Amino acid sequence: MLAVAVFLAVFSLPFVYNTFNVGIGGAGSVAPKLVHKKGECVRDADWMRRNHMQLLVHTREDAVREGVRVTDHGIKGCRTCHPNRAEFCDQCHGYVGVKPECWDCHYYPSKPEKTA
Amino acid sequence: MNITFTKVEGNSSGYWTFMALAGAVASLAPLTALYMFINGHHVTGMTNQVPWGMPIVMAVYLIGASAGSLVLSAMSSVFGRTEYKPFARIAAMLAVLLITAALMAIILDWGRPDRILVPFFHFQPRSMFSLNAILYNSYMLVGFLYLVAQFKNHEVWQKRLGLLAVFIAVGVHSGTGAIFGFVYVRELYGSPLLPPSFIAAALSSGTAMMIIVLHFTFQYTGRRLDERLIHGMARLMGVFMLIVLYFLFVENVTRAYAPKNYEAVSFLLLHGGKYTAIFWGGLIISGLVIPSLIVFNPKTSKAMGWILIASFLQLTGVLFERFIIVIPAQIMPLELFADKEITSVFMDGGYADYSVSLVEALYSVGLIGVVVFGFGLCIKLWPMIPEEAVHSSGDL
Amino acid sequence: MSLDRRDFLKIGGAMACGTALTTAVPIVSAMTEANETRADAGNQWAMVVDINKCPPDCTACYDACRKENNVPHFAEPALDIHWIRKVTFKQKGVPGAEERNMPVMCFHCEHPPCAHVCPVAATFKRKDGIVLVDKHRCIGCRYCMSACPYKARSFVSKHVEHEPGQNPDVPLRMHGVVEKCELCVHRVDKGLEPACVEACKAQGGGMAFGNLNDPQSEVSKIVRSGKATRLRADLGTNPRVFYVGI
Repeated sequence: MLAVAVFLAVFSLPFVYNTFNVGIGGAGSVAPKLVHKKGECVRDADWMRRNHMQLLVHTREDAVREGVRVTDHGIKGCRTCHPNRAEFCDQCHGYVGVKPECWDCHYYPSKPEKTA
Repeated sequence: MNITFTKVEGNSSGYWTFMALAGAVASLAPLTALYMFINGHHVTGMTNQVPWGMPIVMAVYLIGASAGSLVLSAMSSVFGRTEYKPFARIAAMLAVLLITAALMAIILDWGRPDRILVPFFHFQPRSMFSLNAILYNSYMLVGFLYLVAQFKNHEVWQKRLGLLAVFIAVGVHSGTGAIFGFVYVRELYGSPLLPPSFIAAALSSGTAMMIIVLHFTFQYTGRRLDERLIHGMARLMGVFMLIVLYFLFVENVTRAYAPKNYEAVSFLLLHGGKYTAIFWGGLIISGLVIPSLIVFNPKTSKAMGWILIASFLQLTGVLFERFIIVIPAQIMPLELFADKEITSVFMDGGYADYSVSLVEALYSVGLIGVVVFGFGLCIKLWPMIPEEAVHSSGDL
Repeated sequence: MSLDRRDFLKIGGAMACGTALTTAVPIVSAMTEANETRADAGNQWAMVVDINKCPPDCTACYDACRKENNVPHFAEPALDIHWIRKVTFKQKGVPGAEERNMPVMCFHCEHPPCAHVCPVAATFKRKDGIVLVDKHRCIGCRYCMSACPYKARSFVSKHVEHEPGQNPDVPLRMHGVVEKCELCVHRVDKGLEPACVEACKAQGGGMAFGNLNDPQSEVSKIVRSGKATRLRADLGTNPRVFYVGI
């Protein structure tokens, strides 16, 4: 009985954590509000919302392994229309509590740099 | 012969103190690993000159002890030495625990242990690491099933699984030796003798570990252990140690014969500072020669105290042996030219240095703690230890 | 509804195909759109370094590499990352031997020992002969560092932070993985030469980059002349970086 209780407590820890912190609808979460740019994305917005990571990961594998450089579908492509990461990636990722590591290495500033 | 295996009660304050201590030590391994991951490997003694340090030494050491104890467990069911039947369970359990700790040692030492799933999706068959991943995991599984067969008292499956486990254990060891033996660019790694000498050292260290574990387990659980069984194991350990010595001799003499290896061999055997000291002092003299003298001397070969000393020396001696295999090859400079001296800001052409950092030392101790903790837990949960271990025949 | 085995398999197969069609196909077709570049086995990239033209105090190629590839400088020499380094060499056992310099980097071997030992194929050889590390895949086991005969590999043992002045076209060095010279693959794919070669040529130095398969390229002319040598050719790894004047 005790073992089951301990297991349930540990197992539900992420849910509890998210509820009280930044998770969907949790305390401190701000509903994402994308600034819509003019023009079209490489896919329609609905598809992108769900599947952008697949597009990125395929682009990544192809670029790294095969040398296929279709920048529209990579991070650099995102940056051309959405120069501010804080207004783009970070909003939703923060809302759903997902922390991709892309920006540890890849350049995508959360504030757009002024081009000299 | 009927052997009754029973659990330990595990209610005494001694047991709980033991488990609390073991648990505390065991927790060092994951904690130090987390520390290494958060800060990066610069907190360890490992550098770009010596990329493999103490964690790899420990992994190799634990794998060795694991295969050694498994072969000992299979003695009764596979090789027909029924007098060792009382130890079959305890040895098989230790084998599984040790290989688990060894896998932990390797994985937590990765620069990115968070990518634990990557090897499951990407397989590169030419790498000894990938092949070993299959060997280690199947070894763990077969060892576990072998243990289950023993609990079910299923003679046929016990024999089949025991035999399979012995075969895989040989593969595990050859594979581990090949990790280093296949690295042809370093004079002190590349050698076809590494796989077999790994097996020999595994068997000797496994036997030494079993002697120590059996003695103290039977003593502290108040059960009777026939010393004649230990005498037989000590002799076995002696034979394995002589084989290790022979392999070391052949390997180094062969290497020393080629002029291009003069520098490497004289570094290891003559002027390598602490590495030479560990080779001669830790491995050859205290790890192999003294224990061999003890177990082959009629005066000391039947004295439990002496046998325990020999086992401790041999167990630490094999740890030094693993250190000598893994580290000095990386200390030696890589030659870009056969006949030119080189220097650079990246320390080309110079001897590198490696000293075990506190983090790595705690990590290594923690790994042993994991095995000890698992051992204490298992003997409480399942009937592992026999009520008494008596030699089956009247005399040897 | 009762299903026999055959129906079950049919439905299962249709479902699997459907899933594959809806997800995989649109993505794959996206990859074959216009202005695509792809590593081509017809190009076999190689480099020639004429070390007779290396002035003793020149550091142009090293500096250019650090700048181009955001290679950080760690204070401890044993931990520092070197994609290309300056090696000083002199004849062994000869009194008063002359000291000379050469740049040493990843040689992009035809038979790369690093790629052979990588358990997850994070290190691989591209079709055009460039040996790369997939940093998204590398688990940091460091087997490749033991296996490389040329010490071309560095483990990134610290976190590297974004700072102003870094090259935005190249990602930062990733903590916990092994990295090395990429032959400036991001430049090569754009039709440019590696940063070190460009910097060297600007100084009038002796580095050249080109396609070994193209008989008219500078590198294949020099290699054909027989003046170019490779380091540790005895190992059979067949480096793609050649030296003139050793």
